[in-house]
Amino acid sequence: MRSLDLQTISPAEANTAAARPELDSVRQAIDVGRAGSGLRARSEPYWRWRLANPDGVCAGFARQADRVQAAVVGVRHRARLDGEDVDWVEVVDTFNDFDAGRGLARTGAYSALCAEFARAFGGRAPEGANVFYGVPTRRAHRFELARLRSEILRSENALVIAPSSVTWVAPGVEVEEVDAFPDEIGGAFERFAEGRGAVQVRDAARLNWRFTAHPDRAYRIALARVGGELVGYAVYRRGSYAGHEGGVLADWMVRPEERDVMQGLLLWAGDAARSDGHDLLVTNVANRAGEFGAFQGVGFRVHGTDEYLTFRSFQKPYIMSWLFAHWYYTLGDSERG
Amino acid sequence: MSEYDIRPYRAGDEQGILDTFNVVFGEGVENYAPRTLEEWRWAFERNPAGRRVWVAEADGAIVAQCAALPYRVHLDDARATITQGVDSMVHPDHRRGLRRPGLFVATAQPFFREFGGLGKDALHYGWPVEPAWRIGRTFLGYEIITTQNIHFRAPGPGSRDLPMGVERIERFDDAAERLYDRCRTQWGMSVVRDAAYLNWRFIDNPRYDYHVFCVRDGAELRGYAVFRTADSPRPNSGLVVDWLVPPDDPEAATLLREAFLAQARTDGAEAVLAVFPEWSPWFQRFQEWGWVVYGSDYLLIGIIQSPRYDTWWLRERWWYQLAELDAI
Repeated sequence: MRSLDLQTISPAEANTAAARPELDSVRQAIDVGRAGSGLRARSEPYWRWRLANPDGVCAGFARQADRVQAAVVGVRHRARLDGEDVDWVEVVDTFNDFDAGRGLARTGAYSALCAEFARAFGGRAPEGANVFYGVPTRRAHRFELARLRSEILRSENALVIAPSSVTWVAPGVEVEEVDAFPDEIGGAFERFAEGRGAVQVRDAARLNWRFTAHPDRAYRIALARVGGELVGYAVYRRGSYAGHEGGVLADWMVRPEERDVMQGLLLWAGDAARSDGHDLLVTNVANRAGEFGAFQGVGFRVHGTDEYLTFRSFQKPYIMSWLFAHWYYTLGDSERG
Repeated sequence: MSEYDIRPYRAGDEQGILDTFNVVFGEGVENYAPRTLEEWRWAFERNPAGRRVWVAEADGAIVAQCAALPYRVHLDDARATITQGVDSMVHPDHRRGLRRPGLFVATAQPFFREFGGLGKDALHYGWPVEPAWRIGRTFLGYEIITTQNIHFRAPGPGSRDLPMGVERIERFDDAAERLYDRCRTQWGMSVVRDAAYLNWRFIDNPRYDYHVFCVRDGAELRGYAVFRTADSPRPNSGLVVDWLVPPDDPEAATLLREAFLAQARTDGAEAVLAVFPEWSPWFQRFQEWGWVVYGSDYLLIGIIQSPRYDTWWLRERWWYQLAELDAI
């Protein structure tokens, strides 16, 4: 008999003795799955960091005897949706044990787990997370579309530029590199979020967890001010995205009409890339957001990637066409950042 | 469903198909120009790749259709066919709502049993908007290949005359396929652009008039571009419908670009739109030439009928143009 165990894990519970054995089972299974896709195992600090997410983590696994046959891990995020704060779940890791049986039995546990995971964590707001999303690997993609009832929201792009090829000017914009996000970022987010259909909440606690406390990636943060008022920020890291090696703009919060602010932060990011020995910046934002055109307007070029952003909605009217048109996101809203 | 006779097209159905087509696609459309019998014959009788039509008949009338336009393709250097789903319809008097698998699905299922599967049409594709995509996904297995990006820019100021060295093509000849063979060396899949296809698609098309520009080197084509103005997908748009130029011939490309921009100015187009696969060098080149990329509402979808291929493969290797969309 297969026993199907599901567990939610909040930040407070994350490091309790009760949660450890179950989490260790999930971790081991996920690492096996990642190895099958040619990916590195997640580190112990990485798991601790993930579990410290202010919005919590959802995990589920299907186990027969002592063997984990399937696992799903999701990270919760607070989102501003049509002016209301709701929970979303980013599906970050999935595992299916392909050695456990033949034919349909190979994915039976995974299918059952996905259905149970959706029942437990998904649903209409405020009780459930009304959107699941993720950027699956090619291997996971087909299973998630079939078993998690995911849909493709967008075939993703990369925005790329060689900073030396353009001249940016930012009169009146003060850019300051900081070690952590200040509390006043919350007010800037409120102004940024005005008029947007969907955007994940950006406040000091969440941003500092996402970027400052990250155990594997060294992010640099810059704030932009005009007349002393905080009007935007950028998060930079050295690395690559979609095969473009250089400086990655992992997160970006500047209203698209604020061209001077945009250029001020890009000047900073270009300098950061140069100090890392690169003349390349790469990023991505939703291609229906004003920012997508704004980046092109200051010289970025659009490239293809092999990524699909997938989602599952549990609440109308937040179906594909709505989310496609109204959800502003950056690389930092997923592990790509 | 017992009152419906669901079967392949047979001679004599065309007027019934047209009658229902014009009811369905004319619904609520101001200044609708009904499809003519000549246009139907062009699409379904004279297509060099054949015909794919199933209908549902009731009381002597054609009340539903599942149809596709087949195209001959090179697929991994083998010849194959793919099909574009077109003219999906159910007469308003025979609809049951979107949530139940109604008459369209009943008509489509035998269509796909006949034309789908290994060794038959390798891909059935379309460019629906979300509601049509959702029906197809639920009942027919549609998958999204890409959410379609579109390149656009204003024609801007400039000449309205064709550049020196650009000619208009009256009719394609064998040079077209030789150009296509030079261009397709890096492509995984593409519609065969030979004279039979190109003359059918553009020159003999009874519904739309196209401007077909080319640059020649003696008897050989260095490149061609097909252009027309239209009010879809945006009002007063200039559309680069087909673009076939070797990426290593920037001179021919520049001449052809200037040719359709001149035509766009002459026609008063407010924007010039084009579509390129993201892996293609032209996706970048057109941005360097001032085109901006925009995420459209259109979804390039497919039912992939060979286990050797998936959406990822197609996204990375399929050369397609607006020409692969019959309504353009």
